[in-house]
Amino acid sequence: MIEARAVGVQLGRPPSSAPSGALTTQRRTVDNITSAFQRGQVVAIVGRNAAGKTTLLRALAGVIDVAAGEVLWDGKPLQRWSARERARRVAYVAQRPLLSARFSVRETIELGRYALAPSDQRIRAAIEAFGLTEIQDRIYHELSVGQQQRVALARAWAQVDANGAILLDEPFAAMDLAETDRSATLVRRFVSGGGLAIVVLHDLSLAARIADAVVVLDAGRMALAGPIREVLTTDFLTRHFGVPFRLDIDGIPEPMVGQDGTKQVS
Amino acid sequence: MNFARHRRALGLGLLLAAFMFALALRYLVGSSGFGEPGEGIARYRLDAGLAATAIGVSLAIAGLFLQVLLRNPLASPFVLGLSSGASFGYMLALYLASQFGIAAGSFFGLSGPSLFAVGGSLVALALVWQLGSRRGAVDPLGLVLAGVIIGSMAAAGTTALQSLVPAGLRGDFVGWMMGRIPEAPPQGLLLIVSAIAAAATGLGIAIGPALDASSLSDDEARSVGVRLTTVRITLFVVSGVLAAGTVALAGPIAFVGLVAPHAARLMVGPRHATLVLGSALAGAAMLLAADAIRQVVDVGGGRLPVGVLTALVGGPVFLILLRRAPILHHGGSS
Repeated sequence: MIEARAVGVQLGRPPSSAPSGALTTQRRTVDNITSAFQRGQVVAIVGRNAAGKTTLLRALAGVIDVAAGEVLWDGKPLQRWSARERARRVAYVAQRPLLSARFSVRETIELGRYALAPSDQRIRAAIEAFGLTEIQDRIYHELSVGQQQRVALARAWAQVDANGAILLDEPFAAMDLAETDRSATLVRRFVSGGGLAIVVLHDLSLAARIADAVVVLDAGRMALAGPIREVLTTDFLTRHFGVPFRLDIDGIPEPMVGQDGTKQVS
Repeated sequence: MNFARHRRALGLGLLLAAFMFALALRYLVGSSGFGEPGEGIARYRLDAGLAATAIGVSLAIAGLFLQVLLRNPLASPFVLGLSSGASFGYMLALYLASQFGIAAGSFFGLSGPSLFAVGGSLVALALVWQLGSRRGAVDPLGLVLAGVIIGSMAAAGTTALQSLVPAGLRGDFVGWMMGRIPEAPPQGLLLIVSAIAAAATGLGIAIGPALDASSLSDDEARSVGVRLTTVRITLFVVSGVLAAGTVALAGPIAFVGLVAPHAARLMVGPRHATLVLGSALAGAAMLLAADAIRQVVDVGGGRLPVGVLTALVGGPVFLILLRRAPILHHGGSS
């Protein structure tokens, strides 16, 4: 549904200041990413800090321009879709959902319908799904960051069609376990209903639990991609992240951080 | 929500009443005291009332647009170096007139210095735009920083020129700098400024939903379908034109552009379609009231400039609002 073809993104330098042939790969935040993301899957994007995870996600969401290659949605370059068609196909949720006006929870969620026909029913469904009914009239800024993340997810929920895509940047980072459980379950349910979710995650155990496939980025390039169980082996993870991993009782890789480097890899 | 809708309607009603009251007050108050004006005077009072309305609306809408554009609740038409640029232009014209006898003429009912002031404000804005945007994309923080720098440089230039002109002209400059609502404004100019104020209000109401969605982070606003660059360029250009129009008519008037949107936000809530209309009413009411008060306050050496009153009255009101209401948008508890 979303396809990246040799995508390169460059941040912090005007593309007009150099001829396109002169772009050096070192300056690209992400470079030469080719990957297809299909409906019915949760795809995790993982990698170390500054690997280009957020940049790739933003490029796939069409909220930044690519310097090379192209991003296709349903077979068509995303720029060729109208604003309305784009809005109902793909929703993007940033890592820190900011809001510069004092809207209530409900008003914030309604912003998801900006380019689309207003739908009270969609708004209500999103509010109920994310357990926001009680706090729907509260001011967004008065919520905890975890609650704000839930509101942002609900906004995306109210925005895209059932077979659209939600692109989420560390959506659970500030959530407690119950909130994470509820939200992750909803993301799973969304893809079971024919949607696509692409999620940037730091927590590899969480990625292994909720994702079907994974893209591993390393210094802006694609290091590895494929079904999650095949890619996220303890061997690979130990090598890639420089921290020993072992499998927990469910067979999920678990990082052994804070162990003073002792080899505890099972 | 019905509650929010009722609150918006009630707030708008109150602001409308405040505006009507201030307009009537300005009509009934003159240098001759309180009462129905005579035949000859009524026309001046009506013109002054219309001018104050147009200027108040322009300043409030410009302030609101810049607060949205810069994501900064402290933004006002003059944070982008506009008033400093205007003052520099005005002073430059006085200097040129006193030294070389040029720039003293008038055009379209505007004095040479006023024209230079408009020019100065537009040049300052153009520079700020050039310095504060990258690859055609507007960077809110960059704009504010560029505005502060350009403003400081223009202010330094103004001070330098002040020391070069005859002492008598300095008084003229100081009086202009505080702003005054003209009682006999050039009719063509008054018409243009009024038309711009009305058009900008209509535009603001029309793009209200886009302004709402622009409150999201840049990426998320684009994702819900806002053409963010177009919206930002529109806000910048329209607020520049609005503010330049007020400078031409009345000189730089402080605080209305900053306070009116906040007052309106407290009355009608955060939705921009309503907030635009509310800000326009609040700005007009504030300036009309200040100008009416000005008519009756005699400090011995003549009447106070209206800019002094908007700052003296608007400042404390703003501080009270700041303490009582959460005007600053950012942050969230964990």
